[in-house]
Amino acid sequence: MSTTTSASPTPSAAKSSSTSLATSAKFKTFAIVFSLTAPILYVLCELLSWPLFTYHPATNRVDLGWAPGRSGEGPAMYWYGWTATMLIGCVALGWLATLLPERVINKIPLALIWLLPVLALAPLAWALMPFWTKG
Amino acid sequence: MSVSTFWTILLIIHGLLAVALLGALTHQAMAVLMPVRQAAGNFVDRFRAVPAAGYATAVCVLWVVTFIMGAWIYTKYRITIRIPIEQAGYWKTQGFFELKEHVVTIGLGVLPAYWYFWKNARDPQYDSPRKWLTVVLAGMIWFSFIVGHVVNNVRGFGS
Repeated sequence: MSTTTSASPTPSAAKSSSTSLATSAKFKTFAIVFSLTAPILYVLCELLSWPLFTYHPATNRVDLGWAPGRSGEGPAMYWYGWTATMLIGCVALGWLATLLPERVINKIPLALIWLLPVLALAPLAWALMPFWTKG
Repeated sequence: MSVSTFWTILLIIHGLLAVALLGALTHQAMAVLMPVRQAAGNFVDRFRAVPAAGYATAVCVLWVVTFIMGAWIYTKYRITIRIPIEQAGYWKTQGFFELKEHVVTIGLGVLPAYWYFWKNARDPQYDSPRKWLTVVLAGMIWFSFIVGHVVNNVRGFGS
């Protein structure tokens, strides 16, 4: 699907698009694989409880991996840990993908990059079922 | 400065950054969904006739900075705001806030491809993914902005 748009690059944008990152084949691979794996990893982190660490905001305590909230010490927060797991995983997979031949990366359907974030919302919303059904 | 004032200032900065991000992504989404093919006339035409490619880096920076600010405030929110919201029985409001945190994190994850597609806006193979990824990100930021606004109305830091 092509777009004839006012989005066509301005001189300044065209100039910036000649930066080394924007023209680097390795960065292209890294960016595409990072962005493809981010929604998948995040959903896995949430559904399978894979936080890199658990933060206890009332006591400022940090536990490695998943840890339950302790009695009398307030709630435990996993979102920071899920985000950290996702980012580290995406960087690792993105870097590993740069070792692959470019023709492998060129076979990835680019539509997945916007479809996966949308599809990821279904299991994430489903995991929040207790909030939808209470009250 | 009181503790409450400190967190309120952070929340306002977070909100202002979100407004800037909302504006930038809405301009871009309008530009790719309804491209202008002739000289801009009325307000709507001018709104979508922006040089959208030039917004990409600003959108990425704004998303990251707004995300970091939100993550900082979230520590206070978890103790001071969420617990009273749950005690008051606003479960769906809290559920939408939880969904918002998922949405903005996934949005953060797709920024590298978003940036790359816009920096290669002359390459026609990226036209479709660039267009739809921009629209998805705009939808994400609108959803997050509205949810954040509603949660603040339910129980802002001053309450």
